[in-house]
Amino acid sequence: MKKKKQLRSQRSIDITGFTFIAPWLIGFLGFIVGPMIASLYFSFTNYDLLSAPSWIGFENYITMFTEDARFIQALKVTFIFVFGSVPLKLAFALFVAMLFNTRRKGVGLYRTLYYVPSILGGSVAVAVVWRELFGREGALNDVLAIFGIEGTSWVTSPDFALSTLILLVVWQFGSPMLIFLAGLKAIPNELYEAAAVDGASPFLQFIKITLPMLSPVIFFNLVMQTIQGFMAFTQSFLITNGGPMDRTLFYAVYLYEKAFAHFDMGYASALAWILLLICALFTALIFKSAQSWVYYESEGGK
Amino acid sequence: MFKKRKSLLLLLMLVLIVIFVSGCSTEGEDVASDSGDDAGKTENNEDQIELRILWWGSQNRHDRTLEVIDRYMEENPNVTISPEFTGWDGYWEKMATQAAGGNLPDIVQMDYAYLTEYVGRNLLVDLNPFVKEGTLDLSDVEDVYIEGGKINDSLYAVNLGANVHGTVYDPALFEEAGIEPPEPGYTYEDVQSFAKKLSDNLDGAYGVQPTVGTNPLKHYLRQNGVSLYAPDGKSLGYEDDQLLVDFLQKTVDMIESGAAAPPDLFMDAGSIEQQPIVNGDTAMLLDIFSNQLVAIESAAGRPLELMLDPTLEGGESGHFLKPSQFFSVTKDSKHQEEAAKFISYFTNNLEANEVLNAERGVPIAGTVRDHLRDKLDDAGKKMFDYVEMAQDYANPIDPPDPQGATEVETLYVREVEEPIYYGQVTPEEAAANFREKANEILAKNE
Repeated sequence: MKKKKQLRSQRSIDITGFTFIAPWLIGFLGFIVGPMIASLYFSFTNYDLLSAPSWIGFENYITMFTEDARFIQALKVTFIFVFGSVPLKLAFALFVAMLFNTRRKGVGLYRTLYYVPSILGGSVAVAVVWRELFGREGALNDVLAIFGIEGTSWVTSPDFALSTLILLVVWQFGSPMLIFLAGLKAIPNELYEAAAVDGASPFLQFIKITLPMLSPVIFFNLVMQTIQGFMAFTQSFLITNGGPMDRTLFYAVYLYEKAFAHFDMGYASALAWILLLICALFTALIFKSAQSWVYYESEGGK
Repeated sequence: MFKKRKSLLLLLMLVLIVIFVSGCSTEGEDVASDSGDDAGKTENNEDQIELRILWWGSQNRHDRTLEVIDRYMEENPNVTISPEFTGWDGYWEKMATQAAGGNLPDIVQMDYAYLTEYVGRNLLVDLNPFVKEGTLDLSDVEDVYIEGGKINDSLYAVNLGANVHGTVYDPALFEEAGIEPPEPGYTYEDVQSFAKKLSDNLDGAYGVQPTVGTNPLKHYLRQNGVSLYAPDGKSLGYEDDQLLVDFLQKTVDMIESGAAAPPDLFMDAGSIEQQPIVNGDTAMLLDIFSNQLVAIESAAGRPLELMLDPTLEGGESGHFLKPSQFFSVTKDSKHQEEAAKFISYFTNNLEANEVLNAERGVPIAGTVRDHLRDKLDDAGKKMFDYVEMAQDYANPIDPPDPQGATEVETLYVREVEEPIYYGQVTPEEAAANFREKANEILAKNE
C-alpha cells in the first residue's frame, strides 16, 4: 500500500507508461475495439457487404436458433473438435514435456524439433501436407498397405475426416509443451527426493507432486487451448473446406462462408458474437472449477 | 533531475503526436492530390493513367496475362497497369471485401455464376456506350459469344473465351478393354452399359468417374426443356422432383454396379490435374469444360479425347456455348474508357492472343480464332474442334444464375451431391430436401 501511494504522486511515471503503450493502445482501439463495436451493430442488421446495412433487430439471432440447421451442425462439430482435441493435446504435451525434462544428450535439439509443428501450426503449408499425407494416395495408406490394410481417403471420408483434423491439432502440441516444460522446471527437486526417501513410486510422485504443482500451468494451457479450439479455422478450411456433408464444418468456417461467400455479413457478425459468448462461458466455467483443483503455493495451498 | 525528465517526456510526447498527426494529414493530402490528378487526367490524356486488373487462374494463366499487360504498357506508355491475381480459392472473398471498401480494381475477371450478384448490387458498368463509340471493338464478334455478358440488354461483361461442357475419355483404355469409344448421339444408357464393361474388363481401373454436380445437372434439365433456376430467379426452374430423382439415380446405379468409381477415389481430387483419369484410374470423366482439356492432357502426359455429353432419348440438346470467364469494368473505376480500351486489346489483338494461346477458352473474335488455329498444339486443336462441333448441338444459354445461386450451389454440394456419392440419402429424399431449401434461399430475391 505504501508503495502505491508513492507511485501515485509521480504522475510523470503514468505519462511515461501511457507514452510507451500508446502505439499498442492506438492499435487496440483502431483494430480491436472499433471493429468489435461495428460488428455488434452489423449483427442487428441485414448487411450484404455491398449495399448499406438495414436494421432488423434480433432477427439474425432468432434465425440462428430456430431455423438454421447448419448452425447447429457447426456447433456440434466444433464441440466435438474442442472436447476431442484439447484433452488429448494437453496430455500429449505433458507427456512429451516430462520426457524432455531430463538431462540427456541432445535434448535441446529434440525440444526444438518437437516445437516446429507448432510454429508451422496455422500455416497453409502444413494443412496442404496433411491433406497429402492422409489422402487416398498418401503416406499413411502406404504404411497401412504394408500390414495388408487397404486405406481410404481419410480427409474426405465422412467417418474419418473430423478425426483426421483432430489428429492434426494434437500433433501441434509444441507451445503447451514448452509451457509445461517451464512449469516442470519450477517444481523443487527436494519434493521428489523426499518422496523417494519415503518410498513413493514414480506414479505416485506424478499424482501427488507433479500434477498439483503443475496445476496452475495446466489451468493456463486449458484456457488458452480451449479458446483456440473454438476459433479453429485453417485446418478445416484448407483441408476439407467443411465437407464432406458438413462433417467438419467448424464454427469459424461457417462464419467465414456466410460472410464472404454468401454475402451475409450481418448474420456472420451475429455468429461471431455467439462464438464470443461461448468462449466467455467456457472460460468462466474453467475459472470457476479452478478453485477446486488448481493449487497455488504462494497462497498457502489455496 | 526530475524536471529534466519531465521535459524530455514532454518532448517525446510531442514527437509522437507530430508523427501521428502528420501521418493522418499526409494521407489526407494524398487523397486530395489524387483527386486533383484525376481531374487533370480526364482532361488531358497525356497524363499517366493507372489501371488495376484482378483475375484468378493457374500459374500458366498468370504468366501469359502478365506478358500481355507488359506489351500493352509498351504500346501505351501513358498507361500503367498493376495486376492482382490469385487462384480461384479466395478470389470472390477478396473481391467482396474490395467491393465493400469501394476499392474494386478497374477491371475484374468475372464468372457467369457471379455476374447477377454483382450487377444486382450495381457494381459493374454498362459497356454498351463504349461499344457504340468504338472504344471497345466487338465488330468481329458474333452475337452468340456476346449474349452471355448481357443482362436486360446492357453489356456488363465481355467474354474472354467460349467453353462447352463435355466429357473426356482415355482412348487407350477403351482400346485395352476392347470397347468402341462413344460417338455423338450416345445415350445415358450407353454410358451405364459401357462403363460396366470397362470396369469389368480393365485391370485396376473403373469405367467412369461419376458426377451429379450442378453442371451436368443443368445439362440434363435443359435436355428436359427446363432450367435449374426459374427465369425470375425466385425459385427453382422445374416443378417435378422426379427429374432430379432420375438424374441422381443414374449415378447411384453406376456406383452400386461398380461401373463407376467409388467416392473415395475422386473426392479428394482438388484440381483438374488431380482427377483420377490423369493416373489412368478411370477411363472417362463426365464433368469437364472444354478449356480444361489443355490442363488435364498435359497433366496426364498422353492423349485424351473430348466428347459431347450423353443425349437423352426424346430429349432436347442440352449443350450451350458458355463464356469461360469475362472481364468487367467496375463502378469504382475512374478510367472506365481506358479500361474498355484494354479489354478491346485483349479481345482483338493478334500478338496478344498468341501469348494468351486460348488458355481462357476459344477466343471470341473471328480473326483471332482463324489466326490461332494453325499455331495450336494438339490439345488446343481438339478444344477448338470440339467447341465448333458442339455449336451444332447447342441451344441458347440460360440466363445468368440469380442472386443467391452461390448459396444454392453450396447447399446442393453438401446436401445432395456428397451424400449421394456416399449413399447417405436416397435420390427421393435428396430431391425433396433440395427443393425445399433452395426455394427458401431463392424466395429472398425480390
